[in-house]
Amino acid sequence: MTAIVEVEHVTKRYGSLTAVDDVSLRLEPGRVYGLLGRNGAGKTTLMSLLTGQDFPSEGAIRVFGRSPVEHADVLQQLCFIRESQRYPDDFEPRHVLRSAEWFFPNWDAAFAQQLVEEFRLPVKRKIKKLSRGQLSAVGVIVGLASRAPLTFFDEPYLGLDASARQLFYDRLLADIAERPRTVVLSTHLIDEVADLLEHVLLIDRGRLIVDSDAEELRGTAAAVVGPRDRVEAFVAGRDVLHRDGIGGLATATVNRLSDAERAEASAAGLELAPVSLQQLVVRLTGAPESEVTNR
Amino acid sequence: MNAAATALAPTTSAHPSRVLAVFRLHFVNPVTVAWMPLGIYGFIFAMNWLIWLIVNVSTSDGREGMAEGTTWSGASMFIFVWLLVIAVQAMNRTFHFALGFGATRRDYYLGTLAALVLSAAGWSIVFGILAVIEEATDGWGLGGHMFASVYFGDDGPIARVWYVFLLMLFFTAIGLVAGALFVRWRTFGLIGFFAVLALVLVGGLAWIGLTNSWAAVGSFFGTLGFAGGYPLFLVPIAIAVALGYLALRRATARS
Repeated sequence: MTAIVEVEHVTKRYGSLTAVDDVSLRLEPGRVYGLLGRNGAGKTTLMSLLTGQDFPSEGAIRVFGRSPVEHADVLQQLCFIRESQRYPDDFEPRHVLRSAEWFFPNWDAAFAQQLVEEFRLPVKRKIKKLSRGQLSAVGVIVGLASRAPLTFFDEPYLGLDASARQLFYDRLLADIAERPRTVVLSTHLIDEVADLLEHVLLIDRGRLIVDSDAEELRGTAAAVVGPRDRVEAFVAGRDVLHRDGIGGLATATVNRLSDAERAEASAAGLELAPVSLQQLVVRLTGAPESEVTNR
Repeated sequence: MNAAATALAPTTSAHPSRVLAVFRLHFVNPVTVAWMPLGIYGFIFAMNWLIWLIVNVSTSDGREGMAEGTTWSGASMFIFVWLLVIAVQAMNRTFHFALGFGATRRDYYLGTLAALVLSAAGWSIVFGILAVIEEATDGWGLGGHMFASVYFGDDGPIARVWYVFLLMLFFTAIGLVAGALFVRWRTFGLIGFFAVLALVLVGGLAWIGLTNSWAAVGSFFGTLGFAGGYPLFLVPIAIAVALGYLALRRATARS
């Protein structure tokens, strides 16, 4: 019973649309989760449900032992940085940072100030006049400096340049090493964060299709490359995520391969290539084959 | 249903520090809440004062007529409408933001309500002080009236502040409920609200007319006087505050 988040068979419908479909999961303290999935897969809806901002149609959610809805003792341990977070029109970043202090018990104003300088955020400019990247920086700074025991970053770095993204990863890693907490990172830049993630949650069309340790996940899948007939013979009966090929050559991405199976593949004259987390996600969430042929 | 049960189950009582955080959130940028309305008010006053001056200079018997006429001035009404707008905006501006910062809907509503009541109180005191100055200076030296108008009677400066406060609260409450309905149901909420409001008002007028009760209504308010009549605003204020909370408690932060 160490889980800080327990989700049991949660479904969220908006009219005829099922945004989250029978999802069950647990989040453990002190880990970094990647919540991955395509646009519209239900990531933001799931995070809204976990932070009590929206109400599930079915199922139960417990965060720190109880429903997050209208429970201040739960909510003040959370921080949810939305990609589309709306700020009061007349606010400047300094107003956001000043009020953050009143809402987050662990708020570190000095850290926030340091981040403002590092991200080169103009604090005395109207929020609506900020660039997309600067707007993202506001969210990233609040998310880091709030030091909430459970922090959600929803696509936190839209518009941030590569240096700013690297800065975010560096500061996040350094800070959670010093003050362990649970972070849920939702992103499309999977390759960039792959090393950061300890656990992967992959959601597709509202359903949770992967809930796995990141290390395990990386180790299990492999691309089997070789002559078409031999590849087909080898993968028959296995969990094939993706197939493509040119002429007599075929590649099949197989979900789980044990060491013995790997040896068997080599003996059959087949090559095994590693599959990156990003490739795996692309395979699992069903991009059309033609699109991934050239990857 | 499970969801309804989760949301409607009795929750822990309000958290004072969180209510205070929301309260302070509304004042973190003083430009909108204080300096801008003060500036606009100052401008309206200056314009009025100049017009009084023109009337004084260009007509020989203007002064007496104006002292009488400007007691019907609606120039001060700006601040009431401003409070209504502020209340609508307060909701729309800060609800999503406060929720993102982990405020509960209940703490958010209480903090917002407290901020709005304090605003109304502050503005009614400013209003009352200006009215006293106006009377003491014989209408800003020109016999003009902006604050000591007939709408707030002549029961003395304290009573006037109380009446102004109640009227301000009334406008605030209308804005509050409209804002809450907008946050919950967007445009449809607002249209529905004003449609129902119009229906109630016109229906009430029609009912009075059809039953030939205008005389009775007149004498009812006549007996109440200002001191008895203004507190009647507390009824729609209470209804609006309750409705606003009902709308907001199931509102979500979807943009």
